[in-house]
Amino acid sequence: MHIEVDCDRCIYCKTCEMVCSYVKTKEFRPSNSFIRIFREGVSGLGVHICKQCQKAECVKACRYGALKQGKKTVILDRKKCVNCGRCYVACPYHAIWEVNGKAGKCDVCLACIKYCPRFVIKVDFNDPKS
Amino acid sequence: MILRVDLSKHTVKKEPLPREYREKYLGGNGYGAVELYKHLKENPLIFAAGGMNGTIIPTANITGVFGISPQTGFFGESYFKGHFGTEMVFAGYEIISVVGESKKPVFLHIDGDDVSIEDAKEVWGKDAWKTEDHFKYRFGERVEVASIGVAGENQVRFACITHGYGRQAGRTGMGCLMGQKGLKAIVVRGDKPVKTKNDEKLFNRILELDHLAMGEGTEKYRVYGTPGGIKHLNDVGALPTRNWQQGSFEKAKDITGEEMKHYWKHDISCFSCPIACGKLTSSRKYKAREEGPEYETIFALGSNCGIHDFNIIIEANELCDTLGIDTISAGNLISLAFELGERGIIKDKELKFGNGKKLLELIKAIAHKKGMGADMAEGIIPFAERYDAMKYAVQVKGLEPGGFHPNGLPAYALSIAIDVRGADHQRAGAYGIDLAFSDEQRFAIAGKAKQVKEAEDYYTLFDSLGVCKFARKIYSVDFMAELWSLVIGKKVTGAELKKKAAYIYDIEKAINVRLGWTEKDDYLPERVLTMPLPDAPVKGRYINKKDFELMKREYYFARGWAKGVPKVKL
Repeated sequence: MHIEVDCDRCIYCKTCEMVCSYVKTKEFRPSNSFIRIFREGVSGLGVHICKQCQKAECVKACRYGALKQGKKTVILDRKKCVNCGRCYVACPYHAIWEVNGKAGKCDVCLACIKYCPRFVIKVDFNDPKS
Repeated sequence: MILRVDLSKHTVKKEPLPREYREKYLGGNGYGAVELYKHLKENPLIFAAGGMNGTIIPTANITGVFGISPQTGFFGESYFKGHFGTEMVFAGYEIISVVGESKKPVFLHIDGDDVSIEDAKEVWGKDAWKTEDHFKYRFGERVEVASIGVAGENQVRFACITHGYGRQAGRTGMGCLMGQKGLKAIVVRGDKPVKTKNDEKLFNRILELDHLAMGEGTEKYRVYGTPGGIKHLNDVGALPTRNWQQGSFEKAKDITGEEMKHYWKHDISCFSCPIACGKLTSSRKYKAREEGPEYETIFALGSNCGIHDFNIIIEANELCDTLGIDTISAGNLISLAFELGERGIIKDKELKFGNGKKLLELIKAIAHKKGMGADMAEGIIPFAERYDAMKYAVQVKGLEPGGFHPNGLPAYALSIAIDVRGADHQRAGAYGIDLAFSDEQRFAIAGKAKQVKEAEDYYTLFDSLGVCKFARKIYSVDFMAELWSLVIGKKVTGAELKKKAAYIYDIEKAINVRLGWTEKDDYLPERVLTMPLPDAPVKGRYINKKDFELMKREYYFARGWAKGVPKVKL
């Protein structure tokens, strides 16, 4: 299961980024958020967020055992991460990046769903293969 | 931190924000006014972020742009929302002050602590949207850009600064000032946290605050955006039509917010704002796709020019946005040209109300300073004087008013006359004072001067703290004080905040006095003082000159200004 944003209805207010960064790091700091909304051109909105792939490329790329394939999600153990950066490159969705010196990605805590003012974030159970 | 950039010497300096600034001047408007007052001789261009920017408080995201206005010669200020002001704070800068002039075009690149002045050869000559695209492609999609278009480069007097494709600091020609300095764009990216004294308390209130912001108070803006006001203002006779000759437009039903829904594509909002008043629209006829048009644009390029085709308004708005000119000023100038054409003062048969093709041509001509556009680009006073037509020009201090007809709105008429930046609808929103009455009381003047002063102070708080005026129904002064207390960790009352706002306004006025303001500069356009409106419900209305002078005295008295001059000691 992964978080999915309906970009056709998203209003680009970045409340999810603020909430995510506060829940995860106790700071209001959107660059540390595990969800990233971006705007391309006048009307193009997009999102970077972990898709919790069934055979994840990031798990294959990790040489330190920090990333593991769980039952429904991809599990990241930040203690084992050495910030080598292989997973950042490997992810086809650009959904994993450096947060406070180590890799960080969405762990489906659902805080963004709770706080989205327009209710455009939802859980999707159809995870992509890779 | 204050970022001081000198383009002549090519230097960048960082200074810590003086300790008293935050408590005394709050942010945004306050920072801009005090910085401009201190550095007036250097002719700076100042970007200041609102005081509550970067917190989770809904709609707190304002950016103020300040400088000596090329359009009026007085204090110039303009605000835009979006994501730029918050990104500035995340990069660690509350104020960016640019002085000097660069010989070749440059842009300012701010990536957290790394600040550099870089060559803008590649983007010079490009329109504002392409400039933004260029920087997003070059530095990543998370940078925020404030840039000028071709009009700013050509130093059109009312050029605007564009951010986020649809957010403009339009008024008082701040884009022209940026063009004079040879600064094409400012690119910001920040990754620092914004720390308040009560992060946890604020976080626990998100749902409550969002619920308020999504309540009835903002419904109009949420559903229709600012064009939702067209129908109402037309009904009360306050929609300026055909260069301010009428107070209502007979074809207004074609340009209402409800009608705009047919062209609507998507809602877009600013940072941390659930209201999303920005409406993306598209026109198939012109293959245009853009954010807006806003109420002011629809009045300026629509009813005031006698145009009732949304396709043309959308296309004209996109042209103004990409070329980088203020839609209100452009619309007012073009409508003046149309009137002069109809009166035969300018010999051009195409100049007549309702000519959409000519409107689009003139916008391009102004931005590129070609033909008649070159005259118009110098602003409304030189243009009107050239044809000896000052009595048809509606302006105060060289700035054209926003879209509310002052003839039937005495408080609003006063507010545009005495405003520091010229005829301005955003400084007091005084039309609300008049339109709160539905009977004869609306046209009365008793006690309204004091109300204008109160409204100005209230709106100054919005501009300083950084919250949006569209949420004014939820932010009372006391509620703002409560949130501000949480942010700075010190108890502040609403009355104290109002006092600070009045002081900020005094500083702005003091800047004007230093720039040569005299009492004669607080005037009303001739059309407001002498021309009775033809249509109901404001038939025969105009502002009596004696009444106006009386209100002006009352206003100065309420402010405590002897002969309109405040006492300011910094």
